[in-house]
Amino acid sequence: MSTFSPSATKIRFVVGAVGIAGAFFLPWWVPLVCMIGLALRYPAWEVLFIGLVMDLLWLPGQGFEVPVFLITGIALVWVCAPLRNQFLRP
Amino acid sequence: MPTARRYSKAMMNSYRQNKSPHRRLFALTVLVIFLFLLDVLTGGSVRHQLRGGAVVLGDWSAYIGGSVAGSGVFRTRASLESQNRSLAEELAQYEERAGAYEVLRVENEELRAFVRLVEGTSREGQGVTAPVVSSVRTSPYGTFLIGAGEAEGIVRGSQVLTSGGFVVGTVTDTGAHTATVGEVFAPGASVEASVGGASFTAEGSGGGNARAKVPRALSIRINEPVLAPQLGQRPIGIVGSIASSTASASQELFIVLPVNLSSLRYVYILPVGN
Repeated sequence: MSTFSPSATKIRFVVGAVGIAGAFFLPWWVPLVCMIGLALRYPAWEVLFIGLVMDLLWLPGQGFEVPVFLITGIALVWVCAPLRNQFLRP
Repeated sequence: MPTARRYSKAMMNSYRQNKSPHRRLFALTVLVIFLFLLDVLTGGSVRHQLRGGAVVLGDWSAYIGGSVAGSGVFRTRASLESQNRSLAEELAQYEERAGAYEVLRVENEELRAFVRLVEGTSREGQGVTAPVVSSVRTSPYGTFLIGAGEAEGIVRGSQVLTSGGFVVGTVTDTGAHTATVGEVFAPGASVEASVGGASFTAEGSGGGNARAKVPRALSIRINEPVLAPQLGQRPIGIVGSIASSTASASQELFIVLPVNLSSLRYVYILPVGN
């Protein structure tokens, strides 16, 4: 299955939308699952965006705190890149 | 040589295919890091805008949800869910009242012991009642949003109370019309607490729950109120259960907030001076 086939694009869009909506309304593990799913399958910028939104929304805001979700997003995107290239190349 | 040329061509194609997404991802990685640092350096300008948007989105979703429920679609399911929710909230209110009663009883006993002690006329001062505008389950950091901010007189460090007088958290960040509340029992947080005069450190585990280890010799009862000296000796929960073993010198207390955090609709915010 091609990464750029319409079905793959739709899946990516839906998972990304659920992840972003989940950052606002759903339990925190839903965006995390979406981030992992997206990062494993696509070179998805949405992963970074979801991580940023989660940290901006929910970090307590007392000085500098470790942005766990943003770091996780960056790690997922770049750690999963070789895996995607190796196993999911069209 | 032809084989080598073929592999070389394939690698070049692969490189061309992957170069663009990687470059875009790298640019976006730099962008999100820049946005985060910008937010930190500007004291939360980005996050306050986002939280304001979250409150508006929450209002819209509640309005749309109410319209769909009121339109008759899912009527049976909605009525059952509504009944279930109201019963759960009623039960939580009774539990909270029982906890509040226990707090008052203990306080009354202490006041009887110190007859000369005169309580201030208004310990609470001028506070603000604010709606809870986010779910406590959404945050991985043990925080939630309230619909009042600097414009309503909320400042960092203010204590946030339930209607029964239990401290659920403190204000950690304020926007114009929103504020972030960090739960007392946020995951990984610790707070100095006392039960029946014995002091200990309670470790939060999220969702209004905490645990603590105390000497087994201490006589502690279930439903006994847990107070926090650093929060003005206000109650932060009750003893939900006790696990002790004769083989151990300590017993483990499981502390719970006698109100379901998910069902909290309004909270009371005390001024910092109190």
